[in-house]
Amino acid sequence: MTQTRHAVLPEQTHDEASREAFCGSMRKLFTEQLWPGVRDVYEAQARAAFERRTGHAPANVREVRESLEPSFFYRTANLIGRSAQELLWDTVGESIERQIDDLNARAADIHDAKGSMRLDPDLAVPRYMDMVDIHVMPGNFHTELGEGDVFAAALYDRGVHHFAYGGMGPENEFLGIAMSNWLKANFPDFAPKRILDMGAGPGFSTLPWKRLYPNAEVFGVDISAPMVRYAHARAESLGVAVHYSQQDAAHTDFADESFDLVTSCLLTHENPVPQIRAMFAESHRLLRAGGMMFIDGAHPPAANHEDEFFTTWFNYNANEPFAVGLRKLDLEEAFVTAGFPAENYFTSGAREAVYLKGMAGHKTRSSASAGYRGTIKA
Amino acid sequence: MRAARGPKRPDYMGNPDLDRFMMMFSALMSEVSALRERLDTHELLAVAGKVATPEAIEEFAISPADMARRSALRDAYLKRIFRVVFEDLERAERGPDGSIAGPEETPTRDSA
Repeated sequence: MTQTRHAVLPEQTHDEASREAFCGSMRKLFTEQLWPGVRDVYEAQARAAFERRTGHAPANVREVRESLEPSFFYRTANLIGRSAQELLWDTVGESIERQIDDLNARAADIHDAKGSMRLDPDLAVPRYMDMVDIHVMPGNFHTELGEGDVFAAALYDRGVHHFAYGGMGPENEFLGIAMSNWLKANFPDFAPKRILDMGAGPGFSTLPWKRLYPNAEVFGVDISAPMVRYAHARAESLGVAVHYSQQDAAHTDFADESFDLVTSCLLTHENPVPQIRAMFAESHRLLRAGGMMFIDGAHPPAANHEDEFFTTWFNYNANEPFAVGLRKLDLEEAFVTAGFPAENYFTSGAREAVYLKGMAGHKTRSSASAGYRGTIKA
Repeated sequence: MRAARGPKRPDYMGNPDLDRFMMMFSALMSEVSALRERLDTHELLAVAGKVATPEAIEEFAISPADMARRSALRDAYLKRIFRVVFEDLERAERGPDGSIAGPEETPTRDSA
C-alpha cells in the first residue's frame, strides 16, 4: 500500500523507498512472527524451566521476563524489534532532512484555505514531553528545528505508515474511520455541530470526523507547532476544512460549553495520569450539556501478569513510559472525577486492534484493544 | 537529529556493544535489500526495452504486483538471515518430546 499524495508528504527517491519498505518488513517480522514466537517459547519451555529451577511458576511480570532471559530467541527477537524501531526513524529521518526546506516552504504556501491555523510561540512545552522521545522517535512530536519547521510531523506521517507496514491506511486514517463509524452506528441521532480532536498530530483521526459529519465545524489542537503547521497544510491539500491550533489540550482557550463532541485517538497512553485527568476535566468544561467525550486510547486489559508482560513490549523497548500508568487508571472513575455522571459511561468493549486488519499476516495474540470509552455531560 | 532522548537503550545481549552491532547489521541488511531492488528495477526496465539510466530508475513507477513480489522477497530474505533465531523457535514449537532443547542446552547469556 502506498500513501495518498498531499502537498507536504515527503518525496522518496528509488532507494529511499526501498530502505523504508525494508523497515516495514522488519517491523512485520517482529510483529507477526518474533514477538508471538516469544509466547510460544515461554509456554513450551521457559515457564516450565523457571518452575523447575525455583519451585514455582513465574508469579509476576518480573519473573516472566526472568524466565525468558536465558532464551536466545527471546533476546534476539527483542533486539530485532528494537533495531527495526530505531532504523525506521533513522531511515525516514535521513530522507526528510534532505528535503526539509522544500517541505517547510510547501507547508507555508497555502491559498484560499477552507480551514485555519493558529500558532502560539509562547506555549511552554510540558516537562513530561521533553524528558522522553516517545517511540524512540528523535525529537519527539514537538521539537522545532527552525522557523516554519514541519520535520517532526513529516517524520511521523511517513514513519507511522511504515511502522504499520501500510496497515493504518493510505492516510494513516483507519483508526479514525473505525472510531467515528462506531460512534455514528451506536448513536445514530447524535449530530455534533462542533467537534474537537485533542492531540490531533498530523490529522490522521481529525479528517475522518469531518468527512463523517461534513456539516460540523471540526477543530484540532496539538502542543506541537510542527504538527499544527503540517496538519493544516495536509488538510487543505486533501480538501478537508479543519481549524487547527497549537494548544495544550488540558488548557485550551475555547469558551465553556462550546463543543458537542470532544475526542482523541491514541493520545491518552502517551501522557502521564495527571495530564490525562486534566484533559478529561477540560473536555467536561468545553462540552455543552448532552455533549459527548469519546476516546480511543485505553490500554488493553491484562487478565494476569503473563498477559501484562506480553502486551507491554513498547513500554520497555520503545519509550512508552506512560502507558503502564494508564493501564492502572480506572477510566470510569476518572470520567466521574472530571464531572461526568457515572451512569453516562459507555464502552465498545474489547475489540481487535484495527490497524492489524490492514496488515497482510495473521493476527497476533497481543492485538486486542480495550476499545472505545465515552461519556455524556449532564 | 538522530538520537532519541529518554531511558538508555535496554540491555539485550548482555553486552551493549553487541546490541549496537545488531543496529549496524540492520542498516547493512537494509542497504543490501535496497541494492537488490535497484537491480530488480534494472531488470524490469530491460524487460520493457528501456535503458536503466539514473533518471529512468527514479521515474520508474512500480506496479502493485511487483510491489507485492518485492515484499515477499524481503520476507524471505529476512527469514534466511535470521535462520538461527527461528531454529530456537522451531525447537520450542515441536512440543515436549526428546527433540526439544532443554533449558540446559539453550544458549545462555554467557555463551552468547
